[in-house]
Amino acid sequence: MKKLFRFYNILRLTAPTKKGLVFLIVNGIILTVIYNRFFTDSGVYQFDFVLLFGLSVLVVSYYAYIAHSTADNPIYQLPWTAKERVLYTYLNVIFVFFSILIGLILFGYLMMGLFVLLGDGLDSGNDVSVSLRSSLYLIGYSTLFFAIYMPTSFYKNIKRRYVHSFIAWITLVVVNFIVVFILSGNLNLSSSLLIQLNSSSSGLGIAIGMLVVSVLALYVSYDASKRLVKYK
Amino acid sequence: MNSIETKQLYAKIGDFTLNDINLAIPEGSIVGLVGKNGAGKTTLFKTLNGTYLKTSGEMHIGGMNYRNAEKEIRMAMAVMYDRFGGNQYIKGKLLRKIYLQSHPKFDIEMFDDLVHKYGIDLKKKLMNLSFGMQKKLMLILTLSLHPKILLLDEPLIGIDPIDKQEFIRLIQNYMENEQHTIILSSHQVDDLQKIADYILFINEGEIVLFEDKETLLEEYRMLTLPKEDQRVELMINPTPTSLGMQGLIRSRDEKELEDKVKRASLEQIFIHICR
Repeated sequence: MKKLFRFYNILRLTAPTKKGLVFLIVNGIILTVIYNRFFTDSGVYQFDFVLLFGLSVLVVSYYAYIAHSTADNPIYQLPWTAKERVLYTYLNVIFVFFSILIGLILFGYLMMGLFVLLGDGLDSGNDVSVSLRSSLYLIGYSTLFFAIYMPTSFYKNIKRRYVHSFIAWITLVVVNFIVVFILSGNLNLSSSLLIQLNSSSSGLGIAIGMLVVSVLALYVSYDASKRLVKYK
Repeated sequence: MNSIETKQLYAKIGDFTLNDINLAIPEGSIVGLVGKNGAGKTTLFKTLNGTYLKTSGEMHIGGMNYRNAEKEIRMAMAVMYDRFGGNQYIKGKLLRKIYLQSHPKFDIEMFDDLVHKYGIDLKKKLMNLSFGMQKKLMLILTLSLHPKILLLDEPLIGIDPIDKQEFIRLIQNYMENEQHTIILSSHQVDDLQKIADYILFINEGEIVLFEDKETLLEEYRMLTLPKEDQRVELMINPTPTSLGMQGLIRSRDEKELEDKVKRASLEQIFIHICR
Protein backbone atom coordinates (compact mmCIF):
# COMPACT_ATOMS: atom_id res chain seq x y z
CA MET A 1 0.00 0.00 0.00
CA LYS A 2 2.89 2.31 0.87
CA LYS A 3 4.34 1.79 -2.60
CA LEU A 4 1.01 2.70 -4.14
CA PHE A 5 0.94 6.03 -2.35
CA ARG A 6 4.54 6.69 -3.33
CA PHE A 7 3.32 7.14 -6.92
CA TYR A 8 0.72 9.61 -5.81
CA ASN A 9 3.25 11.50 -3.68
CA ILE A 10 5.46 12.06 -6.73
CA LEU A 11 2.63 14.13 -8.15
CA ARG A 12 2.16 15.99 -4.87
CA LEU A 13 5.82 17.02 -4.81
CA THR A 14 5.33 18.88 -8.06
CA ALA A 15 3.43 22.14 -8.24
CA PRO A 16 1.28 22.86 -11.29
CA THR A 17 2.69 25.75 -13.30
CA LYS A 18 2.01 27.43 -16.64
CA LYS A 19 4.69 25.22 -18.18
CA GLY A 20 2.95 22.66 -20.38
CA LEU A 21 -0.53 23.94 -19.52
CA VAL A 22 -1.39 25.04 -23.07
CA PHE A 23 -0.22 21.65 -24.33
CA LEU A 24 -2.50 19.96 -21.79
CA ILE A 25 -5.56 22.03 -22.70
CA VAL A 26 -5.07 21.71 -26.48
CA ASN A 27 -4.63 17.95 -26.22
CA GLY A 28 -7.60 17.63 -23.84
CA ILE A 29 -9.85 19.35 -26.39
CA ILE A 30 -8.53 17.24 -29.28
CA LEU A 31 -9.04 14.05 -27.25
CA THR A 32 -12.66 14.97 -26.46
CA VAL A 33 -13.46 15.95 -30.05
CA ILE A 34 -11.87 12.91 -31.70
CA TYR A 35 -13.34 10.48 -29.18
CA ASN A 36 -16.84 11.84 -29.57
CA ARG A 37 -16.52 12.03 -33.35
CA PHE A 38 -15.78 8.31 -33.65
CA PHE A 39 -17.39 6.66 -30.65
CA THR A 40 -20.66 8.45 -29.96
CA ASP A 41 -23.60 9.22 -32.18
CA SER A 42 -23.08 12.39 -34.15
CA GLY A 43 -23.89 15.58 -32.30
CA VAL A 44 -23.92 13.95 -28.85
CA TYR A 45 -20.95 14.65 -26.61
CA GLN A 46 -20.51 12.30 -23.70
CA PHE A 47 -18.03 11.75 -20.94
CA ASP A 48 -17.23 8.17 -20.02
CA PHE A 49 -14.44 6.03 -18.64
CA VAL A 50 -12.40 6.28 -21.87
CA LEU A 51 -12.31 10.06 -21.64
CA LEU A 52 -11.67 9.83 -17.90
CA PHE A 53 -8.70 7.58 -18.57
CA GLY A 54 -7.52 9.87 -21.39
CA LEU A 55 -7.67 12.87 -19.10
CA SER A 56 -5.76 10.95 -16.39
CA VAL A 57 -3.05 10.32 -18.98
CA LEU A 58 -2.96 14.01 -19.91
CA VAL A 59 -2.85 15.24 -16.30
CA VAL A 60 -0.15 12.81 -15.17
CA SER A 61 1.84 13.59 -18.30
CA TYR A 62 1.53 17.32 -17.51
CA TYR A 63 2.91 16.81 -13.98
CA ALA A 64 5.60 14.44 -15.21
CA TYR A 65 6.70 16.96 -17.83
CA ILE A 66 7.04 19.68 -15.17
CA ALA A 67 8.95 17.34 -12.86
CA HIS A 68 11.29 16.05 -15.54
CA SER A 69 12.00 19.44 -17.05
CA THR A 70 12.58 21.20 -13.71
CA ALA A 71 16.11 20.37 -12.67
CA ASP A 72 15.62 21.28 -9.00
CA ASN A 73 12.46 19.22 -8.61
CA PRO A 74 12.73 17.16 -5.41
CA ILE A 75 12.21 13.87 -7.28
CA TYR A 76 15.88 14.12 -8.17
CA GLN A 77 16.73 13.94 -4.47
CA LEU A 78 15.17 10.51 -4.22
CA PRO A 79 17.32 7.50 -5.06
CA TRP A 80 15.49 6.41 -8.17
CA THR A 81 16.97 5.67 -11.54
CA ALA A 82 15.70 7.33 -14.72
CA LYS A 83 14.04 3.99 -15.56
CA GLU A 84 12.19 3.97 -12.24
CA ARG A 85 11.02 7.54 -12.69
CA VAL A 86 9.53 6.54 -16.05
CA LEU A 87 7.92 3.43 -14.56
CA TYR A 88 6.39 5.42 -11.67
CA THR A 89 5.04 7.97 -14.14
CA TYR A 90 3.33 5.24 -16.17
CA LEU A 91 1.94 3.62 -13.03
CA ASN A 92 0.71 7.00 -11.81
CA VAL A 93 -1.74 7.15 -14.73
CA ILE A 94 -3.41 3.94 -13.61
CA PHE A 95 -3.33 5.05 -9.98
CA VAL A 96 -4.88 8.44 -10.76
CA PHE A 97 -7.52 6.91 -13.05
CA PHE A 98 -8.69 4.41 -10.43
CA SER A 99 -8.56 7.02 -7.65
CA ILE A 100 -10.86 9.32 -9.64
CA LEU A 101 -13.05 6.40 -10.68
CA ILE A 102 -13.50 5.24 -7.09
CA GLY A 103 -14.14 8.83 -6.06
CA LEU A 104 -16.79 9.21 -8.75
CA ILE A 105 -18.45 5.90 -7.85
CA LEU A 106 -18.63 6.91 -4.19
CA PHE A 107 -19.94 10.32 -5.20
CA GLY A 108 -22.46 8.61 -7.50
CA TYR A 109 -23.69 6.35 -4.71
CA LEU A 110 -24.00 9.34 -2.42
CA MET A 111 -25.99 11.29 -4.96
CA MET A 112 -28.13 8.26 -5.76
CA GLY A 113 -28.82 7.81 -2.06
CA LEU A 114 -29.85 11.44 -1.78
CA PHE A 115 -32.21 11.12 -4.76
CA VAL A 116 -33.76 8.03 -3.21
CA LEU A 117 -34.18 9.78 0.12
CA LEU A 118 -35.47 13.07 -1.25
CA GLY A 119 -37.14 12.09 -4.52
CA ASP A 120 -39.44 9.52 -6.02
CA GLY A 121 -36.77 6.91 -6.58
CA LEU A 122 -34.71 6.30 -9.65
CA ASP A 123 -35.90 6.00 -13.17
CA SER A 124 -34.77 2.61 -14.36
CA GLY A 125 -35.93 3.13 -17.91
CA ASN A 126 -32.49 3.74 -19.50
CA ASP A 127 -30.66 0.49 -19.98
CA VAL A 128 -27.11 0.81 -21.14
CA SER A 129 -26.08 -2.23 -23.11
CA VAL A 130 -22.38 -3.00 -22.98
CA SER A 131 -20.97 -5.64 -25.30
CA LEU A 132 -17.75 -7.56 -24.83
CA ARG A 133 -16.35 -6.48 -28.16
CA SER A 134 -16.98 -2.75 -27.64
CA SER A 135 -15.50 -2.96 -24.13
CA LEU A 136 -12.42 -4.77 -25.40
CA TYR A 137 -12.06 -2.29 -28.23
CA LEU A 138 -12.34 0.73 -25.92
CA ILE A 139 -9.82 -0.73 -23.46
CA GLY A 140 -7.49 -1.30 -26.41
CA TYR A 141 -8.09 2.18 -27.76
CA SER A 142 -7.43 3.77 -24.34
CA THR A 143 -4.25 1.75 -23.95
CA LEU A 144 -3.15 2.77 -27.44
CA PHE A 145 -3.70 6.43 -26.60
CA PHE A 146 -1.79 5.94 -23.34
CA ALA A 147 1.08 4.29 -25.23
CA ILE A 148 1.31 6.86 -28.00
CA TYR A 149 0.96 9.91 -25.78
CA MET A 150 3.11 9.09 -22.72
CA PRO A 151 6.56 9.70 -24.25
CA THR A 152 5.60 13.39 -24.62
CA SER A 153 6.12 13.64 -20.84
CA PHE A 154 9.84 13.13 -21.21
CA TYR A 155 10.80 15.51 -24.00
CA LYS A 156 12.89 18.46 -22.92
CA ASN A 157 12.41 20.15 -26.26
CA ILE A 158 8.92 21.67 -26.47
CA LYS A 159 8.82 21.62 -30.29
CA ARG A 160 9.44 17.87 -30.31
CA ARG A 161 6.60 17.48 -27.78
CA TYR A 162 4.18 19.20 -30.13
CA VAL A 163 5.42 17.24 -33.16
CA HIS A 164 5.05 13.96 -31.24
CA SER A 165 1.57 14.88 -30.07
CA PHE A 166 0.54 15.88 -33.63
CA ILE A 167 1.78 12.54 -34.99
CA ALA A 168 -0.02 10.75 -32.11
CA TRP A 169 -3.37 12.29 -33.06
CA ILE A 170 -2.89 11.59 -36.76
CA THR A 171 -2.04 7.97 -35.90
CA LEU A 172 -5.16 7.56 -33.73
CA VAL A 173 -7.43 9.06 -36.40
CA VAL A 174 -5.86 6.87 -39.11
CA VAL A 175 -6.30 3.77 -36.91
CA ASN A 176 -9.98 4.63 -36.39
CA PHE A 177 -10.55 5.14 -40.11
CA ILE A 178 -8.81 1.85 -40.93
CA VAL A 179 -11.16 0.07 -38.50
CA VAL A 180 -14.17 1.83 -40.02
CA PHE A 181 -12.99 0.78 -43.48
CA ILE A 182 -12.54 -2.85 -42.42
CA LEU A 183 -15.99 -2.88 -40.83
CA SER A 184 -17.99 -1.14 -43.52
CA GLY A 185 -15.87 -1.17 -46.64
CA ASN A 186 -15.90 2.63 -46.84
CA LEU A 187 -14.78 5.61 -44.76
CA ASN A 188 -18.27 6.84 -44.05
CA LEU A 189 -19.00 7.47 -40.35
CA SER A 190 -22.78 7.31 -40.56
CA SER A 191 -23.00 5.65 -37.16
CA SER A 192 -20.65 5.33 -34.22
CA LEU A 193 -17.67 3.02 -34.61
CA LEU A 194 -18.93 0.95 -31.68
CA ILE A 195 -22.31 0.36 -33.31
CA GLN A 196 -20.54 -0.75 -36.49
CA LEU A 197 -18.28 -2.97 -34.42
CA ASN A 198 -21.24 -4.64 -32.69
CA SER A 199 -23.12 -5.26 -35.91
CA SER A 200 -20.18 -6.67 -37.85
CA SER A 201 -19.18 -10.35 -37.87
CA SER A 202 -15.49 -9.39 -37.66
CA GLY A 203 -16.10 -7.04 -34.71
CA LEU A 204 -14.74 -9.34 -32.00
CA GLY A 205 -11.62 -10.12 -34.01
CA ILE A 206 -10.95 -6.41 -34.52
CA ALA A 207 -11.47 -5.69 -30.83
CA ILE A 208 -9.00 -8.42 -29.83
CA GLY A 209 -6.60 -7.20 -32.52
CA MET A 210 -6.78 -3.66 -31.11
CA LEU A 211 -6.07 -4.96 -27.63
CA VAL A 212 -3.01 -6.90 -28.80
CA VAL A 213 -1.67 -3.97 -30.84
CA SER A 214 -2.17 -1.59 -27.92
CA VAL A 215 -0.27 -3.85 -25.51
CA LEU A 216 2.62 -4.05 -27.97
CA ALA A 217 2.46 -0.27 -28.44
CA LEU A 218 2.64 0.19 -24.66
CA TYR A 219 5.79 -1.88 -24.53
CA VAL A 220 7.36 0.17 -27.35
CA SER A 221 6.22 3.41 -25.66
CA TYR A 222 7.77 2.48 -22.31
CA ASP A 223 11.00 1.58 -24.05
CA ALA A 224 11.01 4.85 -26.03
CA SER A 225 10.37 6.88 -22.85
CA LYS A 226 13.27 5.15 -21.09
CA ARG A 227 15.52 6.00 -24.02
CA LEU A 228 14.47 9.66 -23.84
CA VAL A 229 15.76 10.00 -20.26
CA LYS A 230 18.73 7.71 -20.61
CA TYR A 231 22.18 9.00 -19.61
CA LYS A 232 24.77 9.12 -22.35
CA MET B 1 40.33 9.19 -3.75
CA ASN B 2 38.37 11.90 -5.49
CA SER B 3 34.71 12.42 -4.60
CA ILE B 4 33.96 14.22 -7.81
CA GLU B 5 35.96 13.98 -10.99
CA THR B 6 35.15 15.48 -14.35
CA LYS B 7 37.17 15.48 -17.55
CA GLN B 8 36.42 17.84 -20.43
CA LEU B 9 32.81 18.00 -19.34
CA TYR B 10 30.48 19.93 -21.63
CA ALA B 11 26.79 20.58 -21.04
CA LYS B 12 24.51 22.77 -23.13
CA ILE B 13 21.35 23.98 -21.45
CA GLY B 14 19.32 26.33 -23.64
CA ASP B 15 21.65 29.16 -24.57
CA PHE B 16 24.05 28.47 -21.71
CA THR B 17 27.06 26.16 -22.00
CA LEU B 18 29.32 24.65 -19.39
CA ASN B 19 32.67 24.45 -21.14
CA ASP B 20 35.53 22.06 -20.61
CA ILE B 21 34.98 21.46 -16.89
CA ASN B 22 37.93 19.60 -15.38
CA LEU B 23 37.62 18.91 -11.69
CA ALA B 24 39.23 16.57 -9.19
CA ILE B 25 37.72 17.18 -5.77
CA PRO B 26 39.39 15.13 -3.04
CA GLU B 27 37.27 13.21 -0.55
CA GLY B 28 36.80 15.01 2.77
CA SER B 29 37.18 18.52 1.44
CA ILE B 30 35.03 21.63 1.46
CA VAL B 31 35.04 23.42 -1.86
CA GLY B 32 33.85 27.01 -2.09
CA LEU B 33 32.27 27.68 -5.47
CA VAL B 34 32.37 31.36 -6.36
CA GLY B 35 31.01 33.10 -9.42
CA LYS B 36 28.96 36.07 -10.55
CA ASN B 37 25.22 35.76 -11.10
CA GLY B 38 24.70 33.62 -14.19
CA ALA B 39 28.28 32.33 -14.13
CA GLY B 40 27.09 28.71 -14.11
CA LYS B 41 27.19 27.71 -10.44
CA THR B 42 23.67 26.27 -10.30
CA THR B 43 24.06 24.77 -13.78
CA LEU B 44 27.19 22.98 -12.59
CA PHE B 45 25.27 21.62 -9.59
CA LYS B 46 22.40 20.47 -11.78
CA THR B 47 24.81 18.77 -14.15
CA LEU B 48 26.63 17.05 -11.28
CA ASN B 49 23.22 15.99 -9.94
CA GLY B 50 22.42 14.40 -13.30
CA THR B 51 19.36 16.52 -14.00
CA TYR B 52 21.00 18.42 -16.83
CA LEU B 53 22.37 15.87 -19.22
CA LYS B 54 25.98 16.38 -20.19
CA THR B 55 26.73 16.79 -23.88
CA SER B 56 30.17 15.21 -23.76
CA GLY B 57 33.07 14.43 -21.46
CA GLU B 58 33.36 12.29 -18.37
CA MET B 59 31.83 12.68 -14.94
CA HIS B 60 32.40 10.42 -11.95
CA ILE B 61 30.71 10.87 -8.60
CA GLY B 62 32.30 8.77 -5.87
CA GLY B 63 33.97 6.79 -8.63
CA MET B 64 30.60 5.98 -10.26
CA ASN B 65 28.76 7.36 -13.27
CA TYR B 66 25.07 7.94 -13.95
CA ARG B 67 24.93 5.52 -16.85
CA ASN B 68 25.24 2.44 -14.67
CA ALA B 69 24.98 3.56 -11.03
CA GLU B 70 22.39 6.32 -10.83
CA LYS B 71 20.70 4.90 -7.74
CA GLU B 72 24.00 4.56 -5.88
CA ILE B 73 25.00 8.11 -6.81
CA ARG B 74 21.67 9.49 -5.63
CA MET B 75 22.12 7.62 -2.35
CA ALA B 76 25.62 9.05 -1.94
CA MET B 77 24.93 12.64 -2.98
CA ALA B 78 22.38 15.23 -1.94
CA VAL B 79 21.76 18.72 -3.22
CA MET B 80 20.22 21.71 -1.55
CA TYR B 81 19.27 24.43 -4.01
CA ASP B 82 18.76 28.09 -3.15
CA ARG B 83 15.01 27.50 -3.05
CA PHE B 84 12.71 24.50 -2.73
CA GLY B 85 11.96 23.51 -6.33
CA GLY B 86 8.79 21.58 -5.55
CA ASN B 87 5.26 22.27 -4.45
CA GLN B 88 5.24 25.14 -1.95
CA TYR B 89 1.70 24.25 -0.86
CA ILE B 90 2.70 21.00 0.81
CA LYS B 91 3.40 20.86 4.54
CA GLY B 92 6.73 19.98 6.11
CA LYS B 93 5.22 16.82 7.60
CA LEU B 94 4.30 15.56 4.13
CA LEU B 95 7.84 16.14 2.96
CA ARG B 96 9.02 14.13 5.95
CA LYS B 97 6.59 11.34 5.04
CA ILE B 98 7.65 11.26 1.39
CA TYR B 99 11.32 11.00 2.29
CA LEU B 100 10.54 8.31 4.84
CA GLN B 101 8.67 6.31 2.19
CA SER B 102 11.13 6.83 -0.61
CA HIS B 103 14.66 7.29 0.72
CA PRO B 104 16.19 4.27 2.50
CA LYS B 105 18.90 6.42 4.12
CA PHE B 106 16.52 8.99 5.57
CA ASP B 107 17.34 9.28 9.29
CA ILE B 108 14.02 10.20 10.83
CA GLU B 109 15.41 10.50 14.36
CA MET B 110 18.06 12.98 13.28
CA PHE B 111 15.49 14.86 11.23
CA ASP B 112 13.01 15.08 14.12
CA ASP B 113 15.75 16.10 16.58
CA LEU B 114 17.03 18.91 14.38
CA VAL B 115 13.54 20.11 13.46
CA HIS B 116 12.69 20.26 17.16
CA LYS B 117 16.01 21.94 18.00
CA TYR B 118 15.52 24.69 15.43
CA GLY B 119 11.80 25.13 16.16
CA ILE B 120 10.49 24.38 12.66
CA ASP B 121 6.74 23.90 12.50
CA LEU B 122 6.10 20.94 10.19
CA LYS B 123 2.36 21.60 10.24
CA LYS B 124 2.87 24.77 8.26
CA LYS B 125 2.86 24.85 4.49
CA LEU B 126 6.33 25.51 3.08
CA MET B 127 5.12 28.78 1.59
CA ASN B 128 4.16 29.97 5.08
CA LEU B 129 7.59 29.32 6.57
CA SER B 130 10.00 32.24 6.65
CA PHE B 131 12.83 32.14 4.11
CA GLY B 132 15.37 31.26 6.81
CA MET B 133 13.13 28.53 8.27
CA GLN B 134 12.54 27.04 4.83
CA LYS B 135 16.27 26.98 4.16
CA LYS B 136 16.92 25.38 7.54
CA LEU B 137 14.30 22.71 6.81
CA MET B 138 15.90 22.02 3.44
CA LEU B 139 19.35 21.72 5.00
CA ILE B 140 18.07 19.43 7.77
CA LEU B 141 16.28 17.28 5.21
CA THR B 142 19.44 17.06 3.12
CA LEU B 143 21.71 16.26 6.08
CA SER B 144 19.27 13.61 7.32
CA LEU B 145 20.02 11.62 4.18
CA HIS B 146 23.62 11.16 5.40
CA PRO B 147 25.09 11.95 2.00
CA LYS B 148 28.79 11.43 1.41
CA ILE B 149 28.75 14.32 -1.02
CA LEU B 150 26.74 17.43 -0.36
CA LEU B 151 26.12 20.20 -2.87
CA LEU B 152 24.85 23.41 -1.27
CA ASP B 153 23.70 26.15 -3.60
CA GLU B 154 23.72 29.54 -1.90
CA PRO B 155 22.81 28.15 1.53
CA LEU B 156 23.83 31.34 3.35
CA ILE B 157 22.06 33.90 1.22
CA GLY B 158 19.08 35.76 2.68
CA ILE B 159 19.41 34.48 6.22
CA ASP B 160 20.20 36.47 9.34
CA PRO B 161 23.61 36.28 11.07
CA ILE B 162 22.34 34.07 13.92
CA ASP B 163 20.84 31.55 11.52
CA LYS B 164 24.00 31.76 9.45
CA GLN B 165 26.11 30.72 12.44
CA GLU B 166 23.74 27.80 13.06
CA PHE B 167 24.04 26.81 9.41
CA ILE B 168 27.81 26.88 9.55
CA ARG B 169 27.72 24.82 12.75
CA LEU B 170 25.49 22.21 11.08
CA ILE B 171 27.84 22.04 8.12
CA GLN B 172 30.89 21.76 10.38
CA ASN B 173 29.24 18.91 12.32
CA TYR B 174 28.59 17.16 9.03
CA MET B 175 32.24 17.56 8.07
CA GLU B 176 33.42 15.79 11.24
CA ASN B 177 33.23 12.64 9.18
CA GLU B 178 36.39 12.70 7.07
CA GLN B 179 34.74 10.93 4.15
CA HIS B 180 32.23 13.72 3.63
CA THR B 181 32.70 16.27 0.87
CA ILE B 182 30.92 19.56 0.34
CA ILE B 183 30.72 21.93 -2.58
CA LEU B 184 29.23 25.14 -1.34
CA SER B 185 28.38 28.03 -3.60
CA SER B 186 28.05 31.52 -2.24
CA HIS B 187 28.37 35.18 -3.12
CA GLN B 188 29.51 35.76 0.44
CA VAL B 189 33.15 35.07 -0.22
CA ASP B 190 34.21 36.02 3.33
CA ASP B 191 32.17 33.12 4.68
CA LEU B 192 33.78 30.74 2.23
CA GLN B 193 37.21 31.98 3.25
CA LYS B 194 36.43 30.81 6.79
CA ILE B 195 35.29 27.28 5.98
CA ALA B 196 36.51 26.17 2.55
CA ASP B 197 39.62 24.06 1.85
CA TYR B 198 39.53 24.61 -1.90
CA ILE B 199 38.28 27.51 -3.96
CA LEU B 200 36.65 27.16 -7.36
CA PHE B 201 36.04 30.26 -9.46
CA ILE B 202 33.60 29.90 -12.32
CA ASN B 203 32.85 32.50 -14.97
CA GLU B 204 30.68 32.29 -18.11
CA GLY B 205 30.44 28.53 -17.78
CA GLU B 206 34.16 27.95 -17.50
CA ILE B 207 36.40 27.18 -14.58
CA VAL B 208 38.71 30.12 -14.11
CA LEU B 209 40.56 28.76 -11.12
CA PHE B 210 40.52 25.72 -8.85
CA GLU B 211 43.07 25.93 -6.09
CA ASP B 212 43.81 24.99 -2.52
CA LYS B 213 42.69 28.00 -0.46
CA GLU B 214 45.96 28.52 1.40
CA THR B 215 47.99 28.26 -1.82
CA LEU B 216 45.64 30.71 -3.47
CA LEU B 217 45.92 33.24 -0.66
CA GLU B 218 49.70 32.90 -0.78
CA GLU B 219 49.77 33.28 -4.55
CA TYR B 220 48.24 36.74 -4.78
CA ARG B 221 48.87 40.11 -3.13
CA MET B 222 47.05 43.45 -3.29
CA LEU B 223 48.77 46.73 -3.85
CA THR B 224 48.12 50.32 -4.81
CA LEU B 225 50.49 52.29 -7.04
CA PRO B 226 50.42 55.80 -8.49
CA LYS B 227 48.69 55.86 -11.86
CA GLU B 228 51.84 56.80 -13.71
CA ASP B 229 53.91 53.98 -12.15
CA GLN B 230 55.06 51.63 -14.92
CA ARG B 231 54.77 48.61 -12.64
CA VAL B 232 50.97 48.90 -12.90
CA GLU B 233 51.47 46.58 -15.88
CA LEU B 234 52.19 43.75 -13.45
CA MET B 235 48.70 44.08 -11.96
CA ILE B 236 45.79 41.81 -12.83
CA ASN B 237 42.73 43.89 -13.77
CA PRO B 238 43.77 47.09 -11.92
CA THR B 239 41.08 49.49 -10.73
CA PRO B 240 41.50 53.28 -10.49
CA THR B 241 40.97 54.59 -6.94
CA SER B 242 41.54 57.99 -5.27
CA LEU B 243 44.96 56.73 -4.13
CA GLY B 244 46.03 55.48 -7.54
CA MET B 245 45.69 52.12 -9.29
CA GLN B 246 44.69 49.22 -7.10
CA GLY B 247 45.18 45.68 -8.26
CA LEU B 248 46.22 42.15 -7.70
CA ILE B 249 49.72 40.84 -8.33
CA ARG B 250 51.26 37.41 -8.19
CA SER B 251 53.51 36.77 -5.19
CA ARG B 252 56.45 36.06 -7.52
CA ASP B 253 56.31 39.72 -8.62
CA GLU B 254 56.23 40.90 -5.04
CA LYS B 255 60.03 41.31 -4.77
CA GLU B 256 59.96 44.26 -7.12
CA LEU B 257 57.36 46.03 -5.02
CA GLU B 258 58.43 45.07 -1.51
CA ASP B 259 56.64 46.93 1.27
CA LYS B 260 53.78 48.25 -0.85
CA VAL B 261 51.92 44.94 -0.92
CA LYS B 262 49.18 43.62 1.37
CA ARG B 263 47.76 40.13 1.73
CA ALA B 264 44.75 39.80 -0.62
CA SER B 265 41.40 38.54 0.63
CA LEU B 266 39.50 35.88 -1.27
CA GLU B 267 36.95 38.49 -2.29
CA GLN B 268 39.65 40.74 -3.76
CA ILE B 269 41.17 37.84 -5.65
CA PHE B 270 37.73 36.91 -7.01
CA ILE B 271 36.87 40.46 -8.06
CA HIS B 272 40.13 41.01 -9.92
CA ILE B 273 40.30 37.60 -11.59
CA CYS B 274 36.66 37.27 -12.64
CA ARG B 275 35.95 40.87 -13.61
